[in-house]
Amino acid sequence: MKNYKLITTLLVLSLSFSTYSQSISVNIGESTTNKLTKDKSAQILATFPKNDSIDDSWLVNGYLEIKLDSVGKKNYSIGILSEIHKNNLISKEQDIRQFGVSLERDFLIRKQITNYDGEIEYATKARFITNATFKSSNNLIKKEKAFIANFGTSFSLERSKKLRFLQTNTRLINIDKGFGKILTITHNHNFGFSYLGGDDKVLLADASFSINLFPFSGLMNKIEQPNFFQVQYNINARTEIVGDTEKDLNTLHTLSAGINYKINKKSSIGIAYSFQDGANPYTALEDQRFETISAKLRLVIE
Amino acid sequence: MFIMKIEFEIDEKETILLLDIIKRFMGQTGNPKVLKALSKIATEIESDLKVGDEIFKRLRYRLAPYTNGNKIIPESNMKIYLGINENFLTRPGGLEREASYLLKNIVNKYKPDFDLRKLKRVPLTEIKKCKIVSEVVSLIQSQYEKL
Repeated sequence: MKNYKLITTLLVLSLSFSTYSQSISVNIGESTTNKLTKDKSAQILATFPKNDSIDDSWLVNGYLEIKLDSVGKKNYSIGILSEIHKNNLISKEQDIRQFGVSLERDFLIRKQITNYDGEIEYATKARFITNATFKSSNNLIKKEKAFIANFGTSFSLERSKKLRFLQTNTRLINIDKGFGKILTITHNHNFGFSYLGGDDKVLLADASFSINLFPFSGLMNKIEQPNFFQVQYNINARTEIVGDTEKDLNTLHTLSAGINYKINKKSSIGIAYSFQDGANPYTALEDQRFETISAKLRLVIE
Repeated sequence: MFIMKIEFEIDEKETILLLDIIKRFMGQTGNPKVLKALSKIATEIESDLKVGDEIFKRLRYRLAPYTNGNKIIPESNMKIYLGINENFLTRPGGLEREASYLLKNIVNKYKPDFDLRKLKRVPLTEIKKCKIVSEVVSLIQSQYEKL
C-alpha cells in the first residue's frame, strides 16, 4: 500500500510542476528500466487463431509514456508511464504490467570559454543523463505485486576532438568519408541502482552497454535513411548489493539485426531478428534462451 | 497610413538575385516615389542579409568545438555530416543554450536599448526540429527580428 501512496504523491508532484512546462511528448519504446531501453523500439507480434483449442500468441515488449519536458529552471522531465511485457511464445512465459512515474534530468559539466566578442562564458562539455522510474508492477503469472524503482545515469561527452570514441549516441566514423560510407558505429551505456520490492526487497547494481552497427549507412543516407540496416548488441548485467532474491539475475545478452525505416527524427518502424540469452528481473523475464522475429516501433510525438 | 508586412522565405542566392534586380530597376526608374520605395526594400533586404551572415559566423564559432574538426557550411547537416552529438542537439543545455547565448550577444551589440531581462530563450522544441546549420540561423534571426 505504501508503494501506491508513493506513486500517487509523485504523480501529484509531477502534475503540480506542469504549470512551468514548455512541451509535452508522447513516447513509445521498449522499456523504461533505463535510458538505453527507453530509446529502443517496442517489440510487437501477435496472432489470434480462429480456433478455440489454440491460444492467442503474444509477444509485446513496450511502454507508453506521457512526458512533460523542460520543467522548472533545472529542466526536469516528468512523466507518467504504463508498461507491458508479455510473451507466451517462450518456454518460461512472461506477463507483467507496470504503471508509474519517471523523472529525468541532465547534470551538465561546463567549460570556461571565450565567446565571439571576447567575453568569458561557460559552454557545455559533457553531461550525465540521469533517469529514475518508480513503478507498481503486477506479475500475472506469479500473481505477485511489487514496487520497482530504477535509477540510472549515462555519461555523454560532447566537446572533445581527441576523445571522440567516448561520445555516446554519435557516429564514431564520418558517414561521408572512406569506411564510413560502408559502416558506421555508435555506442551507449547506463549505470545505476534498482530496488526490487514484493517478496524479495533487494537493492541491485545495474550496468548496461550497447553497440550499434549501421551497414551501408553512406549509401542509405542518399535516401535519408542512414540507419536503415542495423545490427545491435546489448548486455545488461546486475548484482545484489543489499538483500537476496531468488529471481534470475543472469546477465542478459541480446543480439539483433534488422531494418529500420525512420519516419521522422526520433520515430521509426522496422522488423528485426533477435537472439536473447539471460534474464531480466525488472520485466519478469526468467533465465532462458530464445530467438524472435518481430515488428518494431519507436514513436515520439512532440 | 496603410502598412503592409511582407514575409517570405528565400535562400541566400535568391536573396542576392532579388537585391540585384531591385538595384537594376532602381537605376532605370525616373519616378522618385518608386525609387524611394525600392530603396527602402533594398535597405531592408541588405540589413537582413547582414544579420543572417553575422549570426552564421557566430554560430560557426560556437559549434566548431563540437564538430570533431568537420568544416561548417550553412547547408551542413549537424548530426550526419558534422558529427555533432545527438544529446547536444536535442537536450537542454546544448545547442539550445548556445543559440540563446548567441541571441543575447547580438541583441546586446545591435539593440543596446533592449532590456535583456525580457529576452526569451530560443525554444528547445524549435531547436530539435533543425537539421542543418542554416535552419538554426533562420530560427535565431526570426527571434531577433521579432524584438
